[in-house]
Amino acid sequence: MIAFKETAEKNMNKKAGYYIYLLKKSPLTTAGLIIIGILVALAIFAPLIAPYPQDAAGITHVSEKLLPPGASHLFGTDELGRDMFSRVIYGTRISLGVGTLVVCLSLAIGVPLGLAAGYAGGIIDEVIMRITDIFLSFPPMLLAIVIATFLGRNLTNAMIAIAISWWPWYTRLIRSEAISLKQRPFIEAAKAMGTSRFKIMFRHILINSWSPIIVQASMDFGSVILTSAALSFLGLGAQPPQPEWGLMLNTSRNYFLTAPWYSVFPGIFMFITVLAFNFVGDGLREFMDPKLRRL
Amino acid sequence: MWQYIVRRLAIGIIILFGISFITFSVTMVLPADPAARWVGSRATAEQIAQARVELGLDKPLLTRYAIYITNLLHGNWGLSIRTHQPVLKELMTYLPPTLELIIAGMLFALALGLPLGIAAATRRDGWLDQLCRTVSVAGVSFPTFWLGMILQLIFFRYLHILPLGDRLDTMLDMLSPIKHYTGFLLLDSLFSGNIAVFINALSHIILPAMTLAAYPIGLVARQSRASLLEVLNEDYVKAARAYGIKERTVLYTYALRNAMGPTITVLALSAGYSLTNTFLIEALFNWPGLGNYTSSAIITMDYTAITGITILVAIAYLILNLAVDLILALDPRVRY
Repeated sequence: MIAFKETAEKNMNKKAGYYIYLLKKSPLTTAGLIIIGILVALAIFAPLIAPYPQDAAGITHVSEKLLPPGASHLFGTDELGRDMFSRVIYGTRISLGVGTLVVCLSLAIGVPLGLAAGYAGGIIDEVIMRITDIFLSFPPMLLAIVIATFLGRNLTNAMIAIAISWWPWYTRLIRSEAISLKQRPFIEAAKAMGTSRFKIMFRHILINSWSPIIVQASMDFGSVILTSAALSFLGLGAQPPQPEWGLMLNTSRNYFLTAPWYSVFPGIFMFITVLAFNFVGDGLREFMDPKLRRL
Repeated sequence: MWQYIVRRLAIGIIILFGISFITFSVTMVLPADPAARWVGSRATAEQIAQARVELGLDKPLLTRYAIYITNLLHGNWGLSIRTHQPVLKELMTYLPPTLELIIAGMLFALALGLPLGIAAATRRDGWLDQLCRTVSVAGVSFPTFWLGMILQLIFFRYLHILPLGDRLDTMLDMLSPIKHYTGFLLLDSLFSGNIAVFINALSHIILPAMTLAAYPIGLVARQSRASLLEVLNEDYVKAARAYGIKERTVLYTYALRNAMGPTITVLALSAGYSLTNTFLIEALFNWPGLGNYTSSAIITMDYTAITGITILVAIAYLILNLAVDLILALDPRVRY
């Protein structure tokens, strides 16, 4: 037993060393990971970092409106005198939260359906896949716009709307994994041992098809953040005084020609966040796909 | 070949029914009462009830879906709640400016992305290759509307060389009247020899088209690089080089022509993304197209207009995908 444990630990160390090696080979992925780490820290410690946390909640000081960036207001102030730096930092919370929730929700809808379609096959497969076809025949974002409009304008509904238009991608992905895995001997063996279908699907197939899902999810994080910001920009997502980046950009439209800082900073943060997730997603794809791995 | 086309069309029609069912069911979960919106906020309960009958909202669901489908097929897409005008007619007036913008954006993307991709492929791992990789990741990471604002700041506010928005300077269409043939302002003014309008319209389309192009530029550069690299490894390219044919001829006549297929596919598929991107860009540049129409429909909860746009865009997307497949099917090497 002890010997087993030792080998296992050794393998773990080897594995960790391998990952570090891969990261060294791909500086952009490392940069992406570091940026995401910083953003997560900003989101968690926002009340400690933001100099005027009450401004993020919407307290206004009209006498200090549209001040340019300076020592007391690092990113300047908006049209209601609120500190842009504090609001942009708090915006990290919303965007990362939205990304996480939407991706999890889409996975929660898409993965079980994909497993069922791939493993059961036949009529179940046919029905589920035709439904995904219909959802995928809308251009990206359009369906989210329509659903968000009809559900009512707030951030929660925008997230539901994005998830509803996002899940079919995961269904397709996991279905193709399930189809190729279910032919494999270890699934046959599990079946022969009388393992329940449910357990085979979630325990054996799902666990073995995680890597493409993780890659796809990390790539989607950036797109989800952009889509939700776009909905807010159209007035469908976050509502004032929420410090959401897309919403800030929308209100800044009336002022940005005289107060450029108002639109520059929320946009830069959004760009960097999405860029970081895209770098990491790109890197993960290369790690997981031996054909693309540049070693 | 014909069998393939017929099958694709049949699937397309089934999907259209699915789309119409989704748009129909979305309007069903509407929390706000469309009848109340139709008659306005000062209406009495009686007037609302009457509007409910007029709009057919009192009938059972399936009947309503059947009515909805027949009306759609007859070109009766309902009246806009906001303007009380036929939705289909309104959509047709707002479509040409949006198409003009999308086509200009695609041309921009091709004109910038393709040379970048070619340069990256021929000088692999050089600085242009690095630039190509950066542009392709950055292009898809830009929040489109933010990029538009930054371009407005640079070219309007600081350099004073391009207009802020709109499709033409105000008053210009009064000074030199425009004849409308296609609804495409650039084509119309060019054909009628109205150079003043043409140049003005051109200066107005540059910024929104550039903003729209940001996303496909990266895709085009990346795809043309990848497929060119693949083709350059083929035996016939090696043979052509061994014959001593000029490198330029090898690259542009032999390799590029065969590498264009996937590039065009990527560009055409990204047009679907661009279509929804125009919703943001048109709002920003005050471009009088479908996107702007959508934004106002969203703000006023004009649900007939929104479902109309959804169906129109879904049809456009379907045709686009079909067209891409058919163009590729014309290639004798692709067989179905």
